[in-house]
Amino acid sequence: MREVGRPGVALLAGVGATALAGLLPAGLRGEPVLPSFCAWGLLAVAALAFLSRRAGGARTAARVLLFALPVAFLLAAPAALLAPPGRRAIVLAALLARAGTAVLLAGATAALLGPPGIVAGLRALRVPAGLVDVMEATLASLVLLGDEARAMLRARRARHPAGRPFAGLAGAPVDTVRGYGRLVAALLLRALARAERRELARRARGGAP
Amino acid sequence: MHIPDGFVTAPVAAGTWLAAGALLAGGLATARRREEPAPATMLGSLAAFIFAAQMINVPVAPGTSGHLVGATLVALLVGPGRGMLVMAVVLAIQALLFQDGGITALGANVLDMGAAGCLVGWGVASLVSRGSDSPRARLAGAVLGAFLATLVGATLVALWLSLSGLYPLGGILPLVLVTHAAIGVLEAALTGAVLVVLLRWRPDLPAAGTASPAGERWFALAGTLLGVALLLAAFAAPFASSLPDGLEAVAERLGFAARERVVLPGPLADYGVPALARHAGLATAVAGVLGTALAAVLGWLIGRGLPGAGERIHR
Repeated sequence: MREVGRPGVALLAGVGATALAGLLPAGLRGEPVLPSFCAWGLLAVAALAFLSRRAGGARTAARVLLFALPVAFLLAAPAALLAPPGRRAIVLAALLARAGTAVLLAGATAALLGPPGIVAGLRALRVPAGLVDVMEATLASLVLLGDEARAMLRARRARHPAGRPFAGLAGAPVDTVRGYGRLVAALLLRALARAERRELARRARGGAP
Repeated sequence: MHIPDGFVTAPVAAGTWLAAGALLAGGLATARRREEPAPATMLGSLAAFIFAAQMINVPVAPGTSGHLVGATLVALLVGPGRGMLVMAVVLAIQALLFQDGGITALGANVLDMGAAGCLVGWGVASLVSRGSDSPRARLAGAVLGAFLATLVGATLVALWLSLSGLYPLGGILPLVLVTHAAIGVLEAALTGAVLVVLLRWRPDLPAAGTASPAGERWFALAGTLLGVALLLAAFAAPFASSLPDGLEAVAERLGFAARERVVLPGPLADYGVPALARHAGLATAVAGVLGTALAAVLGWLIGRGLPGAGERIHR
């Protein structure tokens, strides 16, 4: 992750562009949508241009769109059906363009800044320290705890005769609920123990209690 | 569910951001009077745990699976005020880094999943156990609380989307409530499953007691009251009028929903909608009552082996 010179400015620009794209009128109340489409086009091109300057940028763009569009369609389709008959297609297209452009911009912002850049940006924008400190601590153990959860699931899968971590609520509800409870409770205790060690280490290095 | 960008309008986005910020600030101000300090490392670890726990999917029926949201669980561990902070951080990271949920919709998502989950979940748990140290009552309350919190969150999602002019509230509300009655039962079962193990393995964790300063308690109980009132209104709305827009009428009177009503085409316009809505209202009521009963039974079943008030855990 290349460091961004002014993370506060970059974050503000990214979030602002995302909000702008997400809040432009989509013709739900009969407003003209041509200006919105022009703006979405420009913003999407800008997001893609930023993304293309990075390795894996095209993949990031494809990933965020593939992830977002089914959800967007699920929310947009009923709203488009409720629009007057002649405007259904245009409302659907506008809602999808709005959601798609916003998610592209958000994805570009995240890809440009990365987790450390986002934390630095929030600090620069004077978001309350109580919130940003917790976010930084979260990002520090996010990957580790995710790996831990995956390892526990793999172990359960290996022990289970059918090769699944849980039998399923439909077939064996008691076993599933019990097994799930033990796994997640153990994960929680590991997370808390890890927090204690990290906190001790932080104080040992001279951090304020 | 996470509302993405592009589905809330500017007034709704601004309103929900403000409300979420105010609730977070209020919750934290009341939680600050707790005796034991919670370092950011601990809250962050808890937020990372919620992330990891949300990756663990449980097969529900062939083809569908679900996962924990975890707000009620977190609120029971660290109190409702800090619980909201943890959930807000989880949702903010999901929005900023993973594009799961929108940035303009972050306020709405924090209210639906964070605030509703923490305040209603914790509040119901504390009301059911009435401040006693009975792990059994605490667990039963948490299970019921997790269920009701899911329904309150779903009602709020419906409210934001209809205030944004996407659908009429009366149309989306039954749909959202019926599906979330099922999702809520799952959340209740998973919350109970984790909590019962925690109460057995580590009865010393704060989840076993209600140690919260009075201010935080009242804050959470007020939030719970508001949430449950909203839920009752959502369930009662279809029966109150032929067009099930009680909440919408309230919203219009308050001046936020000055949008023309969506006109349905064709034969639906005259008679279809009220009749449909009445059926939908009935389905919603049945789902709500069944779900609540199921959550209560689950709470009792899961907590059967736990000690009641005044009993001790034998190890």
